[in-house]
Amino acid sequence: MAQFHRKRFSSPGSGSSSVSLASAVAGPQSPTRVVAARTSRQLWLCLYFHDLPLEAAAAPDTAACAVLNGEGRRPHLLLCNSAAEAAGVRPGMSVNAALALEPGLQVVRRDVQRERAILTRLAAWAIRFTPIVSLDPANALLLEVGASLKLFGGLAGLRAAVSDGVRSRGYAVRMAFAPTRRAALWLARAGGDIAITDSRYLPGALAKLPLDCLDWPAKTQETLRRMGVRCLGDSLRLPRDGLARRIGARWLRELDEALGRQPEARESYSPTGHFRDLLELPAEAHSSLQVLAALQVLLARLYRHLQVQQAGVQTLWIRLAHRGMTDTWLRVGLLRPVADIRHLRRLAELQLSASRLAAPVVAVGLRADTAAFRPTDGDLFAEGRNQPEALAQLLESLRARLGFQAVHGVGTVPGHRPERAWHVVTEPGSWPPPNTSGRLPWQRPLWLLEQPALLDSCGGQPRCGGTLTPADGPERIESGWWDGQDIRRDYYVMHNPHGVRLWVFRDRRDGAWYLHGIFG
Amino acid sequence: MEHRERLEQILRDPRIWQAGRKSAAAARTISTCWVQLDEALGGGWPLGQLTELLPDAHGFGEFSLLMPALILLSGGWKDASGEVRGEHRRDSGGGPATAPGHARDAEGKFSKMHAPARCFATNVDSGWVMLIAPPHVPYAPAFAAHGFDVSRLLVVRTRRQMDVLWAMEQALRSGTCAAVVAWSASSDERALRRLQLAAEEGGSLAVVFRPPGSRECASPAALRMRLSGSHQGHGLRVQILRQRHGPPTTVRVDI
Repeated sequence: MAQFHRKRFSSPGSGSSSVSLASAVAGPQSPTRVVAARTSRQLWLCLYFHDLPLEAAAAPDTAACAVLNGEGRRPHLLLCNSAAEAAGVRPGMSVNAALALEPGLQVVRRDVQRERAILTRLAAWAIRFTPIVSLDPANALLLEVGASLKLFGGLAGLRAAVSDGVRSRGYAVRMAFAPTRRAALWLARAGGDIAITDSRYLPGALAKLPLDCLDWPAKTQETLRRMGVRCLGDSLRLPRDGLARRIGARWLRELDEALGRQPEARESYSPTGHFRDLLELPAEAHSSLQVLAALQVLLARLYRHLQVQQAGVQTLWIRLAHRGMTDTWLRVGLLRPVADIRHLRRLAELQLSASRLAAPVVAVGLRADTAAFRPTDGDLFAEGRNQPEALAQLLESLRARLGFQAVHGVGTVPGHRPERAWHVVTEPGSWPPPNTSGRLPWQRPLWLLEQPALLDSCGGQPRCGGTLTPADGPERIESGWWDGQDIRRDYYVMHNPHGVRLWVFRDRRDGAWYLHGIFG
Repeated sequence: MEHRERLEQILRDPRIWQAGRKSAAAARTISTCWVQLDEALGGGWPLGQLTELLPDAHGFGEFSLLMPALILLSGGWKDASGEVRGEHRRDSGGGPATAPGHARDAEGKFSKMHAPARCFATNVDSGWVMLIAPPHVPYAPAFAAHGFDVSRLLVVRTRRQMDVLWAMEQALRSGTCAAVVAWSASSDERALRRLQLAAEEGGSLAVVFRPPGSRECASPAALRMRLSGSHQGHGLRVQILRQRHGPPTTVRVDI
């Protein structure tokens, strides 16, 4: 009696009570033992994508189409769409039989990799509802939503949010709620649209399920069928040791896990640092505006991903897929991790406008390498000019339109050869300021020509816009014998009749005059 | 006599308004560090306005005219305490390491420039200096020798003319650069007007070098100067075509 009271007044869902099978069916008169498990209140939501093989193969809706399962000795049809079913084609048929029934049937091979990729993308989307998501190989997602119910407005609100999201992505789904993972999976596979929040009702609900929703191997199911077991409830009524001997301990453990008697272990999905997504366009895009619209959707998904990971984007790759041509990749590099989606969109816009579309685009992809945010040490009251963030944004915008090499800083390199005394600094501000203790004994021009320009000489004197008159010099520079780029030059500062001061040298090897720099 | 000179110098400070004199520049300026030019402009290069320079030729000192202001804006010429250094020395040999300017005296650049301490901008907000589409490679050792902080220099190379004006507009509008200097051959008046507006928004020093033929074109720039070489000596003849505060004048600057 005391135990009966305990059962009645125990809080609902406070743990799956382990009751033996006989008492569950016969009544609570003789409970053998009551174990109040210390598990927290768990509620699992299973999203079962029953049509995923067809959707992964991009099957058309109107024409009859079926997916071929090539594994096993006999290739047979795994799934067929409604148009094929109307013609009489059923899963499990062989290809020849199906073609005999419907000659216009399209048969596509099952692409497991693609299904897995889609499932991973959906898991990355589903992580906004709960951090505990796990993937099931049978095209299902399992989410632990017990802790998220309050945030999303209860069971009904969560259900609406999830189904809207999945439908907007274009996938058909069956949903089921249950206190254990396996029970949720089986209920969803059997038909879905059921929510069990209390584990006391679990055996009753599971009892009605047919055997093929269990995804057990065909041999085991055949054994059970020969024993007279038609539904799950029948198997639950059988004695445990006999059942274990007939079908194996592994399947018995699955039953226990479903009822909550045994804990189940499954690895949960954790989003990786990379973000990869692809959006197929409904029609070919000829202008960059349409590509931008698709990119906006992808950037919104990227924003969610970044929020979950608390990271920023370091490099962004935009992939434009063309029909029959290799994909075009556009790179948007960033100086530091960025999570500002508006800034990324602007950079992508600049990049797209700078390059023309080589061919009509059929799909737009996004790939982002993320990195954790580095804390920036900045002054809280710094003026706008000194903020490194604003400068980085400016440099990124310039580079997006003009090209990565177009914006750079300069730095000095110690050395005698003039053309090697400076170098390009790709990250401005990173090169330490020059040590001003080394004074140059001779003047150097403010502007250096990329390549020294040959001057025509008249009577041994160089001419550039008039006869040049030397003002200073000569300065002899002979250096660089060790890497084969040695120079032997005499440098002069010369004036031309217009008042321009030039830095001219005479190569000692061939005696020719060259212009190397301009003062002022 | 000395006292009179000093008094006049003090009175030339644009922060002092004198009735009867031309109106001092109310806008922010940065000293050009050339005495005659500061007087003519009433303070120096205007900050937050577009300045247009039209040199007659290339390489006869038009950039050297701008150089001291750029050095100040890049944070050069500052000693350990962060203050702009006092008078620079005119040494014939190598001077001490902290002396700004060129060590060589005979030809020395900026040897006739007056000391930064007497510039009217004693505390200058230093920042980045951006050169857009310069005609040649800016030679880092030469910039460093003049006192420029080379780590604050940004160079932007463009392929098309419209990119030059676009990049300048972006840089001015963001306000992150202390000075933006561009070389543009375009004569698009609308683009220049946008540059003027962007300069007002950002508040940096905005200078555009344009080819000499643009003198006749209308331009919305606040300050327009034509630079030509004077035939005697190495001076530069600066003809101020238009400025906000004051009449057009001609100045001769010895570089």
